[in-house]
Amino acid sequence: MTTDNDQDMALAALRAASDDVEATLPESFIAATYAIQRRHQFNQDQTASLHDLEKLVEDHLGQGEAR
Amino acid sequence: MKLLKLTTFNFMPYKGTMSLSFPTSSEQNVMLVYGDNMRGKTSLLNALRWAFYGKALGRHSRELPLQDLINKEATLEGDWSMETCITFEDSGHTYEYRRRATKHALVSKPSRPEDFEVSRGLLRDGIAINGYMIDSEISRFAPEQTSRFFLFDGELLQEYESLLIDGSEQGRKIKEAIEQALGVPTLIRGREDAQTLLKSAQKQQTRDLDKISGMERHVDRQRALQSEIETVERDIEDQETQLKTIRTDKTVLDDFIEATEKIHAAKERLTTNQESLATNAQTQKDLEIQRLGLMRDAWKDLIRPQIALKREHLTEENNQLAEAMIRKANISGQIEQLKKSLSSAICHACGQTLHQSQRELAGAELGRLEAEYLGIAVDENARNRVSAEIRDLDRLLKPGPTAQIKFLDKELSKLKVEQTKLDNEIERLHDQIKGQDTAEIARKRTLRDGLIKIEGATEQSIRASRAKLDKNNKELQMIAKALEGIPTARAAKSTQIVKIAGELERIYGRSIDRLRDDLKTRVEQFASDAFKALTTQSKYSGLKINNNYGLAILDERGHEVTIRSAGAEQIVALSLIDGLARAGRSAGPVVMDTPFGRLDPGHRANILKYLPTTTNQLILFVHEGEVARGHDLAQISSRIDSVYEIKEVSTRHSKIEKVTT
Repeated sequence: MTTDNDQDMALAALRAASDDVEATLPESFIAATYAIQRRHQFNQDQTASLHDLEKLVEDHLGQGEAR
Repeated sequence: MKLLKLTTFNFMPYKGTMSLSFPTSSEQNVMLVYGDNMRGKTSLLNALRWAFYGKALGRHSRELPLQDLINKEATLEGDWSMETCITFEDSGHTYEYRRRATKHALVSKPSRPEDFEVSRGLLRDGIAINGYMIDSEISRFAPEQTSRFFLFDGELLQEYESLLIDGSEQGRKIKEAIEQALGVPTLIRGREDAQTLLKSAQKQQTRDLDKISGMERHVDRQRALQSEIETVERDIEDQETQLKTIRTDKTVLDDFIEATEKIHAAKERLTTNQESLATNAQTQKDLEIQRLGLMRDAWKDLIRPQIALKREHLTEENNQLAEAMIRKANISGQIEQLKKSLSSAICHACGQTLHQSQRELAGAELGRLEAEYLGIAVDENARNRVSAEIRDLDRLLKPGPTAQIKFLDKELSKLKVEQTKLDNEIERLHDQIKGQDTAEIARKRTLRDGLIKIEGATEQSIRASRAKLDKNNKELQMIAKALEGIPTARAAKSTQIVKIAGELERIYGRSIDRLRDDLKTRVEQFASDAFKALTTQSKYSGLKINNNYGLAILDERGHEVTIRSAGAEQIVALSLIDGLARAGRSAGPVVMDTPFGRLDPGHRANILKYLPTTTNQLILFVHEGEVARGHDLAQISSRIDSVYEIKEVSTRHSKIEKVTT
């Protein structure tokens, strides 16, 4: 009944789509955005997932500046 | 997840405390609860639903009001409290989820859900979990959105057929549930979050670029598009709200229409019968007029036998007169011949000379003929009179109106019988709809038809708005791309966020299509495997999935089987559910209520053999007619952990007893 699946098809589809659109974003970043969605998937309110995504993007930009 | 125990108090027919322990062994993972109809099998499924999600479902998946869930006998005794407690384990932790409803102190007799206070608590390894975390914790094991695939109502199996029908409302809902079970909404929500982030970043970008000279053209267009997008999005939101309201109203009307279907049908029949009665009366009136007209000549038929007799006599007289005339003419001819023979002494017949003796004989014959001639009296006038009379009588003897009158009488008689039947039926129908507001029923039916049209128009309008939105978003993307090429713009943080969010949106958008395609292939494969294990028809080669996750049966040549029996539908639906379960989540318990309704013993045996191998717990609520305790159970005896039976204490009270272990 849990949705944990060793072969997470949604993440695999996301990775393949990333190749399809020739994304420049790192795979780890994309996986992190997906982890946010997985964490909040059954919350009615999307405020929490959006907040986490904004923070992730900020951190990602911060890392770029630091480099 | 593994279910351990369900305990209820005053839940539906289970007055007082009822307890069920679930199988825990991976080898003996099947449990059966036997119960006749109306004893409380579906109530057990509802006890699990209420325990997990605080809701119980009735016919057409409608939520049952809370006041109807409490045992009636208990409420008659003044006890308005109810409780469920489900114990389960997952990832090495033991959970106990308790939900309780009691009437508010100030309410004497609850009549609505608001009259109750509902409380709940979740313990993990004996430690309470914060209330706000309960839903997300439960969603990790048993998300409500996917519950139809593990808390499984066999009576709803036929709904899966609607997946084969494009545009079906029921199919749309099941498709949503399927995609939920398969994880598609996770990606959809990811795209939505990326879109929200993108929009907010674009607005910030517009504000940032406003301060940089040379950017005016981009800024103006970006601002105009953002404003337009916001308007279209608001429109879509309003239209979707409207569509939701329409669909809710339509569902309510559909329920009302279904509930009043018999009354409506009676009213329709009444109208038809009243029209038939009016037609019957008019036909009778027309036939009576026709009959009256025919009666004018009916006297002729009354004297017909006498006329016929008279004509018979006249015909005889006429014949006699004719015969006399012919005879007289013949005799006259013979007399003439004899006279010539005597005067010439030569026979007129042979031309020989007549001897004296022969002449004497001829003379005697002449005398006899002359005497006979004189004896035949021919009255020409009499013959003319008789012929005229016959002609007159013939006119009277022409077919009269009696036959037609008889036919009309028969028709009128039939119509009168029909009229009596119609009168009785109309009276019965009047009684049936007496006290019912048939005008209201007619109004709501028309309103429902109107809503169907508005629903279609709103859907079309939403599609048009979405197309406009896509066009505007594409233009915004092009502007964003152009801005990335301008160093001053590229330096702005908002531009960088626009770039990231835009890319994320594209990735998530693309991934949704990819996942749907992958899932369809996977579900089709798993469902086909299940179907081949479940079906008793060896000529079927598998299943083929469509865009709605509807499954078609393929024959031995790979062609779709167009006509499917109710039993085949059930097998296909079970195969789909098994395919979904295996494609979308790890093995968990499956609770099935009355799943074998339409299946023959061969299919039942296949299911009982197959399902315990693809689930970690198989809990079946069945009646004796579905799974025979002797023969059917013997085939899976090694898999059975326990068998329970629902016993009736009274019409409002059932209890569960363990039969074997």
